[in-house]
Amino acid sequence: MITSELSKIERSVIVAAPRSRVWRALTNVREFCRWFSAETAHPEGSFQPGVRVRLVSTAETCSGSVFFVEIEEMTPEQIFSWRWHPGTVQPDVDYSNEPMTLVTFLLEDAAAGTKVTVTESGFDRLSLARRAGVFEGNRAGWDHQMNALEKYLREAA
Amino acid sequence: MRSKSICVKPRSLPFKTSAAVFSALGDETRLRLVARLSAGEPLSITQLAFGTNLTRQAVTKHLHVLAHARLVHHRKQGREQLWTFDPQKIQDARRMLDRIGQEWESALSRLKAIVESDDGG
Repeated sequence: MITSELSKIERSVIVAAPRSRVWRALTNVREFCRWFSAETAHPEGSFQPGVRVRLVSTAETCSGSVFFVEIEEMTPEQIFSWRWHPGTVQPDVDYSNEPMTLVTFLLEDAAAGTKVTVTESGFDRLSLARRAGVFEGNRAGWDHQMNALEKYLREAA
Repeated sequence: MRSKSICVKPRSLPFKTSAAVFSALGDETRLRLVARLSAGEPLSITQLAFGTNLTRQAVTKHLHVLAHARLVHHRKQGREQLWTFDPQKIQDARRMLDRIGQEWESALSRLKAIVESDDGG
């Protein structure tokens, strides 16, 4: 077991579409919101590096939760990344001083279209303040979410 | 399309316990201590310091960080304390990352579905 394995997530998928099409789905705000299950007050246009975007989840189990993404890098049709505070859902907690994780989408040509790889890294830098009991309890809430996810995937299959 | 699964909220739950694990393991010396203890044999601070350039005090300090994250625990045997690795928290952290990974898989499959369902328009 090495630390990098324990502090980074990587997943990929092959999409039967050119990189330009996938890029638009990632970076056009309205399209992004469709697959990410979120909405925003300003869905027009595209994300821009350096911009902080306020989003509201439309996912069934946490509809209405507010979260922010800070757009980091945008190399057209190649790299799109943002930083965020994962799990920042308590409205009365100030997360501004906590480290963020970095989410990066990498687009590469594949035989059948485009390979999309998402990595989320930086879990090792999350502060110990997280342990301060802010999110006490409620493991059941998570289990409920996982059941909802499994149900969704079954239905989508 | 209003789908149901990317939800940042549930992440907060496993984070609470796992942040300490990641933090504790984010240090090479502690990682080495964990690696030695993960062989299974309970070891004393003297044994853990032997063959390293660490003082017993330094080993003790690192062990306490690991103990705080519940990665190791100790029991007294005679005049010495013996330290043991507890894999449970690493398994929890691993499981948390697996679950977030599942969320990403689900998000990517929705991205794929949306992109492939139109003809570029």
